Amino acid sequence: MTVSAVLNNDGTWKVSGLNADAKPDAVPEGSFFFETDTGVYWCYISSTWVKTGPTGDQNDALDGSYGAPSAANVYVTETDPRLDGTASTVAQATYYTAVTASTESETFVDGLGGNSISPPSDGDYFVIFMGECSGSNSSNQLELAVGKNSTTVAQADTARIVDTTAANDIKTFDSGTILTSLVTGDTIHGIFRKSSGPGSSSLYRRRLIMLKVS
Amino acid sequence: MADVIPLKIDAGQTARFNSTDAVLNAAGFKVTSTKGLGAVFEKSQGASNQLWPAGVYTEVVAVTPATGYQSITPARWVVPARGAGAASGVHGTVRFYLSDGSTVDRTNTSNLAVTETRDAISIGKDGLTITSVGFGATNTTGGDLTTTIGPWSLDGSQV
Repeated sequence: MTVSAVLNNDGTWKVSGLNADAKPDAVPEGSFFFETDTGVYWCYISSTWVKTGPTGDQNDALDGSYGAPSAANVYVTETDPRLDGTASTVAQATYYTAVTASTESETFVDGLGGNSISPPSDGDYFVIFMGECSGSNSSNQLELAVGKNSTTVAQADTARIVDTTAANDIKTFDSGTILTSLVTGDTIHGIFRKSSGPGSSSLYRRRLIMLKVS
Repeated sequence: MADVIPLKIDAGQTARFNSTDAVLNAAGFKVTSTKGLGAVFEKSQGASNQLWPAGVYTEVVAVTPATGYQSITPARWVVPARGAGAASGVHGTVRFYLSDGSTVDRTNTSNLAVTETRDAISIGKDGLTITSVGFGATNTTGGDLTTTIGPWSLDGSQV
C-alpha cells in the first residue's frame, strides 16, 4: 500500500499506510498516521511519531506478551494472562460426591436427608443436595436444603426448597449454594424434612455433591 | 462586461460564438447556451528532474482555463514531496495566481506528497478569481539543486 496524506482543515495531515511503511517526516505537528493493517494510530509530536492510545508495552500485555516488568515496561504481566484462568480452572476443578443413590422412605420433622461429607481440603465449595421427594398426603410440606455443621432446615445455609402439594407425586428437588472458607473439620449436610401433615415422606436417589471452586 | 450584439436567427437555427453554441428554441424567445456555465477541470504534470535555481520558485507548467472560461475553482490538488537527500531544501509547490496578480503558494516540506482540498485551506483573498495554477517547486537553499519533484495534479472546475 502506498502511503498517502490528506490535509485536514486544521492544518494537520491524515496519513495512511501499513505498519511496515516508513512514516514521513516534516509533516505538520499533530498529524495522525493510521496503520491500516494493525489499526494503530500514531501522532506527530515534536517532530517524532508517537503511538497513541495504549503504549507499546500495554498493547503487548493485551496481546498476551509477558515477562519481567521493568521501569520501561511496567505493564507487561509476569505470567501469560491468556493462560492464567485456564490453568487455575484445571487445577481446582476437583469435585467430591457423597452418597449417590438411596431408596429409603423416611419421615422427618427436621432431620438429615442421610447425606453428609467433610471437605477434603480447606477452601470454598459449591455444594448441591438433590433427590426425588414425595409425600403420602396432600398436606405434606417437603423441604430440601444444604447446611454447614447444621442438622435442621431452619439452620441451613441455602434457601429451603418447598413443595406443599407433594401428595404421592415424586418430584426432583435440588438446593445448592457456595460455602466459603470450609475447613477439613466441617461437616456438610444434605437436609430433608416433611414439616406438616400426616403420613410419611420419602427421599430417593439423593446426592450431595461438592465442587471446590477456589 | 462584453458588448451586447443584436442577434437575429430563425427558430431551429444555431448561432455560434467563440466556440459556444446558442440555440433559439421553438418558441423563438429564449436562447440557451449548450455549453454549461461550469466544466470539470483536471490537470496533472508528471515528475520533473531538473535544476532548481537557489532561493526562488521555479514553475514547471502553469495550467489555465480552457478557451471561453476565465477562472479556475480548484477542489483538490496534490502538492508533491520535497526533493530527496541533499535536495531536501527543494519543496514541491502549487501556486495559485489570482486576478489581481497576487499569488498564494501551497508548499510541502515533507518527504510525502499531500492531497489538499479547497475547503481545508483559506486563500485569504476577497473578490478575486483564480486565473491559473502553477506546478513547480521552491528551492529554499542558497545554492542551485537538481532533483526530481512531482507529480502534481489538480481537480476542480472552470467558469
